[in-house]
Amino acid sequence: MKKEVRWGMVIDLRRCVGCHACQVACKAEHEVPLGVWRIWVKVVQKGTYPEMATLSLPWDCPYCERPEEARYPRMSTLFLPWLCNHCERPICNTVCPVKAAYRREDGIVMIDPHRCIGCNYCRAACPYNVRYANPITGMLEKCDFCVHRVDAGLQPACVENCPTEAMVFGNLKDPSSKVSQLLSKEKVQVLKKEMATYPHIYYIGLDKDVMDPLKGWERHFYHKEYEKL
Amino acid sequence: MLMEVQVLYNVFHHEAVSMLIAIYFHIVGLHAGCSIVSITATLLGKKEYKPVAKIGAIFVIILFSISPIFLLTDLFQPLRFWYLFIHFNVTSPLSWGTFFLCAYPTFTGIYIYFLFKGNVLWSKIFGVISLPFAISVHGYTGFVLGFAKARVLWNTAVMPSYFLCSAMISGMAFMLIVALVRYHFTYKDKPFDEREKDLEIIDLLAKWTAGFMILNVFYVFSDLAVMYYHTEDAFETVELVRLGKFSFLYIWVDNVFGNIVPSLLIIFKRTRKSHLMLLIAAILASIGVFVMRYVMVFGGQYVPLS
Repeated sequence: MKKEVRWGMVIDLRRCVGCHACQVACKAEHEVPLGVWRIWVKVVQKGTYPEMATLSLPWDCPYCERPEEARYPRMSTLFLPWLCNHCERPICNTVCPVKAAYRREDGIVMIDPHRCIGCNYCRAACPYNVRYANPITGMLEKCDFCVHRVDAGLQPACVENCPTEAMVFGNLKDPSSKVSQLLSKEKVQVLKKEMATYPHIYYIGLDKDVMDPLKGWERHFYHKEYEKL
Repeated sequence: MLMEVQVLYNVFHHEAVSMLIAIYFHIVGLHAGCSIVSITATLLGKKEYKPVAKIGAIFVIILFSISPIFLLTDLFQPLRFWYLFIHFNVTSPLSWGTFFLCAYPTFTGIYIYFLFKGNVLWSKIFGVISLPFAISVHGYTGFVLGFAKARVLWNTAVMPSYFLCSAMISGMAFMLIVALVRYHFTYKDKPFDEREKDLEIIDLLAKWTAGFMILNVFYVFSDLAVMYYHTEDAFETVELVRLGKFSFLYIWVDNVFGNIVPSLLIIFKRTRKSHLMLLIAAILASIGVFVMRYVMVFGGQYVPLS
């Protein structure tokens, strides 16, 4: 009997050191052009500064003048590898007008480069902002879990290159696989659960400030002066 | 004590929906509006509405012939546009749009042919057939934005009706401008009662435009008000269009000067009787609708997703 396969990934953020090796490995593996990324590591710094409560504008920040106060242990740096979530209900597949975006039986969401017309609708609809238009070929692209490697029995390039083994790739339907064991043992979280896409990238130790796209951007909306900086 | 969060590294891929699509939305709204007005005038069957029906029909042909250019040039693989016909995806509004964009000119073309031939019965029959396609050809664009669940400004149930309503405003305002220009060039050669009929049509068009503008303001109000009671993304987006980068364009240019001021100019009898005021109202309304398309497309994509 054929073994049932559903590929997925668990990223242990407690192990991630923000080395961007996954990002570089992916660039090299897929010859991703300049300015676009299939996977990237979002880096966020957060800290508790007592005087901040009285501030309204960023240039009033006292830490620009006294940077020695804004340091460990009052702050931490958070990393979040951000890639296609290979959703169970991918919105990109739903809205693609030519069915160029499709989901394989093993759960990998793919783009047929021979069928894509480059209408960009999937890119507009994806809540994870992981799709990009290849500036050289004009084709829509995204992470495909290194399908050529996976089909050959290898691990995706990012997983292979992760020095701390923070990224674990495997079959979610196989109870003996490392991903299944991590999922059953650890407290995991997914990105944008409210979008009802049922993503298959699971994160251990995910912080609310790094997963929220609006964090660190609020001021950008209100103060035109902020843009002048 | 306040937690300060700073993003040190993140990737933002460039905007998915470009200016070409905003222009396309505007033009398709314009000709759908003209078409709906023209067909309604024909179906009502009054003789004095005939010039309106004909003016509308001519502009449908002109505007429709330029609108697909924007769609095709926006594709990254424009030579593959015919894939849209052979790979139909029922869950994608772009697929629906492909068929509406083909069916609409076919039926409307036949309708226009019979209209200019003077065949009342067949122009009415094809008018009835092409009316739903005229509504759908713009209605689908509302669904295109509405189905993109990533963007909170687009993903609202009010979007298709909002888009249709603004299409009616742009179409009617455009026809109002044409009717005013036509009147001022031709009224000297016409007998008194024909002039009266032309003025009646102008008056009627202006009143309907004002009605749709008031409906539009209601849609904007309900959309923004509900967003205030929604998720964090929705709250940030509505703050963006109300107070942030797009506030001048959306609140002032689109809603105050594009909807409220022109509708007031039309509602008050004294200003409605002045053709200059009507022309100003129609121009303001047209600018307002274009700005609304621009804000919807770019404002929706302004909020970061990653």
